[in-house]
Amino acid sequence: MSIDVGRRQSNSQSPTAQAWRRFRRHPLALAGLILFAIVLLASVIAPLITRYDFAYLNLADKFQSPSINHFLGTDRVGRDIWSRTLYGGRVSLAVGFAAASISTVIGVILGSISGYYRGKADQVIMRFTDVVMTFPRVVIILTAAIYLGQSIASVIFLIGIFSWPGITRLVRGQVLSLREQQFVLASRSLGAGNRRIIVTHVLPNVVAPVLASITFAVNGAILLEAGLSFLGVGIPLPTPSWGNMLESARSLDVLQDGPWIWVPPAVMILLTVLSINFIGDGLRDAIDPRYQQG
Amino acid sequence: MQYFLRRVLVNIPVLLLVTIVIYLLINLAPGDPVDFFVNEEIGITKEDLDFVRERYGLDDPIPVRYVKWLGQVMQGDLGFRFKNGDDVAEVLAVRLRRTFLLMGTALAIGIAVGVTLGIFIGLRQYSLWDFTFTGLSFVGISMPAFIAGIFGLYIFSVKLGWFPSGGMRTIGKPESVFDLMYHLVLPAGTLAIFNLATFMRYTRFSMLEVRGEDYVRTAKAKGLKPPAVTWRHVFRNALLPIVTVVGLSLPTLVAGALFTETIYSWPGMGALLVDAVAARDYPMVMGIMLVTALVVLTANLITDLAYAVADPRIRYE
Amino acid sequence: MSKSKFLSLIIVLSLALLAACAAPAAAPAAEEPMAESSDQMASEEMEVEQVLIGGFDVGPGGDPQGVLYNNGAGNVWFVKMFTPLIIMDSTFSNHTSEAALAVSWEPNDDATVWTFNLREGVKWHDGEDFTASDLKWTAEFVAAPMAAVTHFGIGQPQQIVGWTEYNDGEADEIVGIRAVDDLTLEIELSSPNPRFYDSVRGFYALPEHAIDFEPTEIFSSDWWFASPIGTGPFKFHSYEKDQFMAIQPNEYYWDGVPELDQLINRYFVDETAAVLALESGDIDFTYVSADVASRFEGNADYQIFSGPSFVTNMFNYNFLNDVWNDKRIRQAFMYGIDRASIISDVFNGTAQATPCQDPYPTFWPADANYYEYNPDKARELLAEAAADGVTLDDVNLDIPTYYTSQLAKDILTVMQANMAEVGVNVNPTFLDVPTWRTVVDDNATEWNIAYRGAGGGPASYSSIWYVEDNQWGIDDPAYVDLFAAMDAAQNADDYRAARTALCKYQNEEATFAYWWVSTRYGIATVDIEDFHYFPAPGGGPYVDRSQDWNMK
Repeated sequence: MSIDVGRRQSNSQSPTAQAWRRFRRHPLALAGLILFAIVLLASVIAPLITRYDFAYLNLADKFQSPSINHFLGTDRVGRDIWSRTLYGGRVSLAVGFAAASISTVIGVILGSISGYYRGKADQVIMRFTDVVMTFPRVVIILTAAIYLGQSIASVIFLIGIFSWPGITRLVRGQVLSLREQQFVLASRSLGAGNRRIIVTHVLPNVVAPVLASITFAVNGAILLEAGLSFLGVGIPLPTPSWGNMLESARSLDVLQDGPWIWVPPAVMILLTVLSINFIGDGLRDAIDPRYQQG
Repeated sequence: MQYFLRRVLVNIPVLLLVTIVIYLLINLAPGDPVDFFVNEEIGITKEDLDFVRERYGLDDPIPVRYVKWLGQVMQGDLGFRFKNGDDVAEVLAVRLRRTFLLMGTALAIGIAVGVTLGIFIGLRQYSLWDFTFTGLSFVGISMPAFIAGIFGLYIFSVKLGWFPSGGMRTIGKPESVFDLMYHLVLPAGTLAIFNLATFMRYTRFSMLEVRGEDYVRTAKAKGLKPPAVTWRHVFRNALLPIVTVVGLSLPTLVAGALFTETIYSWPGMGALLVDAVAARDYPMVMGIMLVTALVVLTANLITDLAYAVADPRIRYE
Repeated sequence: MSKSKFLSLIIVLSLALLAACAAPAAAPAAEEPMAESSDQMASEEMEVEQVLIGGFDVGPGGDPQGVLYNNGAGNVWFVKMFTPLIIMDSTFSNHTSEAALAVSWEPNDDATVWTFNLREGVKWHDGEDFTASDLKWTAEFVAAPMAAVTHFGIGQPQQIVGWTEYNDGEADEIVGIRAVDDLTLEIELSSPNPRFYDSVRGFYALPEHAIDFEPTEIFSSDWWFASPIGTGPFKFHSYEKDQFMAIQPNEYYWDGVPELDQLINRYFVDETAAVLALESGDIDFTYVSADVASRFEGNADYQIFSGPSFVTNMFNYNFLNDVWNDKRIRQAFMYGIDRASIISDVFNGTAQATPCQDPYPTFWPADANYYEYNPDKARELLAEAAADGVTLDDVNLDIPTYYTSQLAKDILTVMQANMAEVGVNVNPTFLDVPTWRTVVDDNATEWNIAYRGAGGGPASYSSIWYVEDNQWGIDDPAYVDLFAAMDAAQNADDYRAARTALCKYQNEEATFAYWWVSTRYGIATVDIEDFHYFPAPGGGPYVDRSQDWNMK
């Protein structure tokens, strides 16, 4: 028997359709989506629109300002900046999404348990969340990265497992209020088990706010990766990421005389984060029309 | 009162757990403080190093060392740095002041300008001002500190030469508040961008929300003049949620800003922590973590309580 | 209702105020300890004419806010205030009496007893006379059983009679170190060492009468930053943690009172910060790395000082893993990596190829093989080795290194690309020093190649890398003989011949992949006259005649 009381239907349209309709009307969100699509596409089809491999280096061509051959110039060992920026996007975006997925999964699981069962489980999980929130994330990850070594996988893993507290709290709050809602109570009175109630009723209703918070988690992860790489910990050679490209600006000659080397990754980070913020903002407004701004 | 007490007490095991986790993490990291002493290019024998390890008690098992450390801390002694024998508490005091100065300035600018602008545009929804500042605020919250820092350094120090590239004072010149402020402009300005954008967004949002509340409509319907409505009803209520944001920002006053401190060579807490971790300076790392954790937990507590006092609708059982 | 809102407003405002107060509240607090010194500085500004500010502890060899006997670095600064027993001249190969405590030294016939004749008229900064007993006291102070010192200022101190017993707490003094009279110090060794004088160039004298702390407090005493007393040309003036140390002329200095009125060592978080400070005119001098030095070339506002780092960068192979015992594999790396291009394009010509581990060109054989870049040859060698069943297929080719500069990353990036072309995929990993030591020193067989530097003295060459149970399992009787020949050399010519033979053998065998000695730089503004800087390992000590430095 399928119980559909969970979907609060105020009119003929489904909430998802309504949300999408509101989202489309949100100009910034739409702009964000388009911008992000361009960034994503450029990274995905990087091999088609670059002339050089990201690792290809030619010392004879080092430190060249933009030209026809290298239209964003080359870095200190003669690698093509355009190519590295696009391939760097792959790494940065992959890290962003993968790490955000890990933290979201952890956050949703812990948050639902905490909010649904309350009591002891809630106490323990919330105190644990407090502990993790108290850590300075960057330094903890710097330290932990020492054991795991430099690899994309370890960067994803570390960012993921230290970034879940926000989502946990959000989900817990949602679940806390949901479990008292009538359709949940009704379902329980019909004899549904806890697992079933969580999976069929609670989680689907948590999806919407979680979706909005995922966008911020992705941003957080992209920025954290960039920050870690900027400090010299993170993605191994010769793989480019926006963060490790930016790291080169820490040497003075690059900062001062080679802006073409560090401005592209900086701008890409900025644009990506900006577009994802637009999308997230639009999503939040779309999901909860109360927040609608423009 | 009972709630308050419980809220305080529950923080004690949290704090203890934090210190245990950090202690484990830093002690399990490869190498130890003695390794850091070694000049790789000169070389030293293993016996010499083991000898030093023994002197510093580094040959004890980790739990034993943790308990020793905890015992010391209970007596108010944070210990000494391995790196140079500095008193950890003294180093913390100096660094805390510097970080507090940097972060406090950035936060103060952020709150003052951000809240003002937020109110300004919150009262002018859909105006050109609103679109402009809302748009800019998105850029502000999307700009990570290290990018803002690099751009700031490149434009205002390297290219224009208006501000110093780093440090806290001009050496050789007499100490002055002006000189300090001069060095503070770029790093604090960089950090303030994000604060400013955040506070502006929260204030605007909060203003809009309150303006839609029933009691505001009632007040308008009652025939109150717009400025009176704004001041008496909207403004006060709108500021309430901002308390939370301010509260959550307080820990940064202590934790510092690693990236900004790195880029502008500001000798604060963030830079100190990274330095201490790299040197496996256990007492220093633990000292920083203890202070940071204390402040984070206290700030959470204050925020919660301030909220409870400010809004009687909130009840804690 | 209005009451609760009023309350909330108060809370909001007080919180905002709290945050806002952070700035003004902190500013006076931060100044408090400086208030005194700032007054002092303001009043003295009238008189102070010649002030030289520099980043004297920037870069390798620097030890910002360090203390003597901590790690053997920081000599560029220490030598301004303290004086070693013997010093090097700035070719960094000869030992001279010019600025040292000893004016002459000679061994007995079998080089087991060394007599150091000390300079007359040397006074401590407080006016007390310096004597030979200060040196004996210093050696015993730092070697005290509980002192936890690892750099004793004397190379391989175990060679001194009675040192080990004293250090172990079994004796009350080091019997092998004797103050014969006020101006004569005698050191007795347990075995002959014709080049012992080279071992005491980090042996700085500390004042027995002016040190009020225990040996256990060497690294924690604030004496070093509040009231240090030495015999150098400058004496302590003021210090501010993390900011600077200022020193002023020592009116008792035997070779004339310095011309500068103040010499200030400013501390920087990193080299970039120091270079920016130099460019903005905040400081007059700093160390810079090779990639930054080229920015100053041809600029009439700056003078450039340069010299070899005396550190050889190399691939340290781990012979505990069998594959490295095959000479062809070792040589494949030499041929496969385009060393000449790295030197010309990554270093911008600021490094010199080395034939062997020895960083001193004096000891390089004229007919050394520099392994010109030849990827075909590299592939050939690898194929030949593979035919004999020796391959790198299942070998962990991480290349751990403790160099984390952008320059090091660029170098290893090029090496990685070069090796990929000959079919070997290496993976450089950049580690902090404690991690590096754990990986390379403690995990015997887990690593295979480490990119590192090795330094050494012009008259001393430690054999621990090649013989005496070396960590990486080199077991080659030829090395035992070569080092024995070097130790046995009685005069400079024999020594040079023996050391050159060692270099030749390393070069032929390619025991490790010896790459280059980089050049290090110091940049000073043209305002400084008679200035001298030399990028010696550990910062020296070397003769820099800082008493002659002056500002135009």
